[in-house]
Amino acid sequence: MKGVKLALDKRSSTIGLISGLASLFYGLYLLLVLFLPIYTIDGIITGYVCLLHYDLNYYGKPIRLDSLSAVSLLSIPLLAYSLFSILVGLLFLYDYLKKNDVCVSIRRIFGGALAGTVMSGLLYGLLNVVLPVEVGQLNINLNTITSAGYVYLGSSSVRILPLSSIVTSNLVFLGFTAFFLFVSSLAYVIFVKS
Amino acid sequence: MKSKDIASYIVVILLISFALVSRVFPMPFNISIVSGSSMLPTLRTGDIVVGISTYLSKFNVNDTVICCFTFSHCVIHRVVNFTTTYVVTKGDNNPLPDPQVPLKFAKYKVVFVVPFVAWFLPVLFAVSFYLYLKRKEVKAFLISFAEVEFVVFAVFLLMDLSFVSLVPVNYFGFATIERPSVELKGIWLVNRGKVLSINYSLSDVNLANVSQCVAYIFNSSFSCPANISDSSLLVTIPSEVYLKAYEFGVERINVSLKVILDKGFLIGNYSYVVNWRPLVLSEHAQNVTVFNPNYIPMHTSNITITYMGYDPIFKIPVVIETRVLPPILVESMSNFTIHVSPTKGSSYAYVEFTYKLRGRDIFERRKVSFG
Repeated sequence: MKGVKLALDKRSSTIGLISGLASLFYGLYLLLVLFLPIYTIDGIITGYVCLLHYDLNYYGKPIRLDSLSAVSLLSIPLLAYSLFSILVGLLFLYDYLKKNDVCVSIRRIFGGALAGTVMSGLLYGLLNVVLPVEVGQLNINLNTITSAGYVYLGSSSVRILPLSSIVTSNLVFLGFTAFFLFVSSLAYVIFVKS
Repeated sequence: MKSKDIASYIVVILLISFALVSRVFPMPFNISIVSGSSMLPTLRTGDIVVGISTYLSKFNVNDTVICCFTFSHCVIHRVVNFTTTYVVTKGDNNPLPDPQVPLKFAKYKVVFVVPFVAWFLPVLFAVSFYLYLKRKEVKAFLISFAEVEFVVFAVFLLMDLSFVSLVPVNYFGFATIERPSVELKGIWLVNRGKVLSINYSLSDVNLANVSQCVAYIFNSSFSCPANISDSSLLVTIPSEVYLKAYEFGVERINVSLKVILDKGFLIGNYSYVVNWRPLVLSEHAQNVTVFNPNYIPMHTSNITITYMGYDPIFKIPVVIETRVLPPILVESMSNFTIHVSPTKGSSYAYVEFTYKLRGRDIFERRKVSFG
């Protein structure tokens, strides 16, 4: 099949294009999720937390938390995957616009979409299980009554950014993943298996 | 795809999953990757640690252990204390120890550490070298159809599994960050009751300024200047406070403070008790010493020294001479001494005076012997 330009109908071609664009946008979407500050913290702890990075100050001094550092480390596969998705999406578009054979690209995209299901599991775990628990610990109130009296040492509150809550909602990212898998499977069946 | 390849993938996946499983189920050893800075400079992010099960090798204080709580949450810290039931660990770079955890969570003792630079660069080099050696096959593979979708899926699956299996999330999170605290250590009256010393036990916080200090007696309030001395406040109690308290017969003095801390503020209401006590008299070597144990000056009046002798015939006491002294003000927490020098023919003397204590007339008498 190598080097053979397939004569496909317009509908199939459109599905191929959609899968390529889906790969590109899914990669960009993941990149956005990774770099977008998801939580902001105000009070005695100030700063923000995104998946790949966090910047926190405790009474004005920067602090590092092992748990959030681990989240950043665990996000590296997601970063690699999103860059891969963008790359294969761009490669597909290049082949498509140059009217080259897109079968290899479709197969890469399909492989990427399959890997996306695994990656979405990781993303789901980080966004819904690990991060809320770890960031939730930053929601502290140090105002207390001790033997010395009423000690006001401040508090901090964690806020999820409205844009982040939309972008990182389960419906959106699982929807994107499912859509990407669906169109790439469709394209795979049309271009490779047919 | 050959069944041999599939088998090798499965073996790799099982090996990687082993690290994940060993966090919850007892296994002979565990491999983890360090993340975070709590164990600096001993362990750095990316270092690989190999732990032997604590069932096989017992740990001691100062050993580094891997405590695992769930599939995702572990902590690699140094043991600072342990008993038969619990263990306390601490990150070398953390100011505080971790909360104590049951001993069963300390699953592995770290026996081997591979620094990040020692494994990452050689692995990178080995992979690059391998790809270079196999460059023709790799190039042929990349431009061919050969199972690219499977390879893509397998690579990311392995990458995902590797990270999840080898990078545990620290269990204690924010718990090991030092939190400031202010506790009262004690209150003492110093400088003859003029200064109230309030001592605090401070942790990760400092006293900065006193913005308000008021002493209360019933409805009367008095401003009280306060100074900071390290972790103590020195509050000067105005003499009017004690006078007012004496006037009302109050024994409890209340002081309200607003102290500015470098990380917040403190509102403290403290009280201390003053006992209005009678003057303390002592006699020594022809001197009568009057000590005022109160925080206000006390007025004494009707001070007389009556010199006594004995009638030479009947041997009964007779008054030789009576001297009247002017009223004396005995300052707070101070002594006043009445010197009684013998007069001719006197064998002893009585020193007498009166004063008022909370409305009551008190009469005092001391005998001074000259013999």
